[in-house]
Amino acid sequence: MVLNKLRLVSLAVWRSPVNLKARKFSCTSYVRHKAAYEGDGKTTVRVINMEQDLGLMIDSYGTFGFRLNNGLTVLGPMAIFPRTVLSWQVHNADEITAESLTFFRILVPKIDLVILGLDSKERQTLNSVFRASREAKLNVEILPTEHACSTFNFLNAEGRSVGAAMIPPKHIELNEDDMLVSKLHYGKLYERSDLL
Amino acid sequence: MPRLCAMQSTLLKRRLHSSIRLCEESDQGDVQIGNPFCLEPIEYESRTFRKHDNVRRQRLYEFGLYVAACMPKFVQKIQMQHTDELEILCAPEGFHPVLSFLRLHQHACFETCSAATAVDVPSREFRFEVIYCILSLRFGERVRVKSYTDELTPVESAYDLWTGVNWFEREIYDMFGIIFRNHPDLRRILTDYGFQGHPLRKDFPITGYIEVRYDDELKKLVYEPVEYAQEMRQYQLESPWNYMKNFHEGYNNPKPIKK
Repeated sequence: MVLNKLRLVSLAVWRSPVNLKARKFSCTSYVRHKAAYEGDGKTTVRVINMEQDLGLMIDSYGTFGFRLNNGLTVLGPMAIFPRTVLSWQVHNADEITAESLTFFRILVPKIDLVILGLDSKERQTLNSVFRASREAKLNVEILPTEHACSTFNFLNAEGRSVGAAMIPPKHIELNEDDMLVSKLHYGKLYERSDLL
Repeated sequence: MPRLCAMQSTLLKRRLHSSIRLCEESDQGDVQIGNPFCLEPIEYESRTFRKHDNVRRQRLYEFGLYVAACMPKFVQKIQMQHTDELEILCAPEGFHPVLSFLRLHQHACFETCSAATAVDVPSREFRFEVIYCILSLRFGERVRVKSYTDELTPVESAYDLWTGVNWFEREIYDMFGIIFRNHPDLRRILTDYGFQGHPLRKDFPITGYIEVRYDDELKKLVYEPVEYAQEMRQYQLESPWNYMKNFHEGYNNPKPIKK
């Protein structure tokens, strides 16, 4: 790393300003040794869903329920925690009352933030859910299910004590990538050895 | 070369619309009182002050009057700022129609929204002013469109006119609490998850209510009420120059009662 830096510095010295002024500056005359950032010049991607020790994460969602990164499929609304998942007894967002949310309050270690993933985006529903959470005295973040899933994922990866209560969405917009992935999943269902 | 210039001036005529010549060029010099549609040209003798392009300023004002004449029901006021900027003030019911007029009409063509903000004036009945700054690339002019609302009334979202306004409206919702109808995805954008309150309102304190700290024992972030490192200070005003104490009561003492 240090050697590379030295090499870069020496190259910069050779290309002194005097030389540059002598001929017109053009990008093509430079050989690019590194990208603009530090490192090997390669971009890395870290998929947090693949890392098992960061806790439970939601891989995908559908109108039926959710698929988690440990291979579980949960049908219907669920309550998910860093390492636990439970099914939740509400049918849709209108049925969320302070009673259904009291569970999050009595847990130890204390949950800092509860993410509520709702299926509808109407103001009425959001207001009633917010009031219910206020009665239950929870610190809550109310989002549509799609955004709630990804928010739960990266908050869990950070190591915060978050809980999430998700209701599967009523409609999803499918794209071809999604359809392909779900076809592959069902096609290989009977070949998967970890489910035996 | 002069031929090219002449051709250019006919092809690239991008002056903003003024349907009626409300104010002739000759008027501006002669008529002292008269024509209310004639802005007084701003000229400074000093060379250090900013020069105002008075022709452009007059044209922009006439365009504002044109917009007001096209939509008399919605447009409440037209203002020209001292920096030669046009402001169109609208009623809340007409906010979306005025914006769509400005976006879509051939004489307006404001196809870029460069910013959207809100202003909080708590003393008013409708405490928030929502402001959209839009730019016309065809005519090279900018206009500010303003409307008002209070804490509970939703504002029609301008997402169907300019998609870039998506995050601007999310930011206004997050910072002020103004709800936008028909917004595709209205949620918080700058504040922390589970943050309560709307920071840019005037009744929200600068330091906020909650502070975050990393607790080493619990090995995680802890949210606690904010702790002031200093107590509130009372300032004593003193003048560094001596003044006659006989004739002045001092800045901290009450004024003497006149007999």
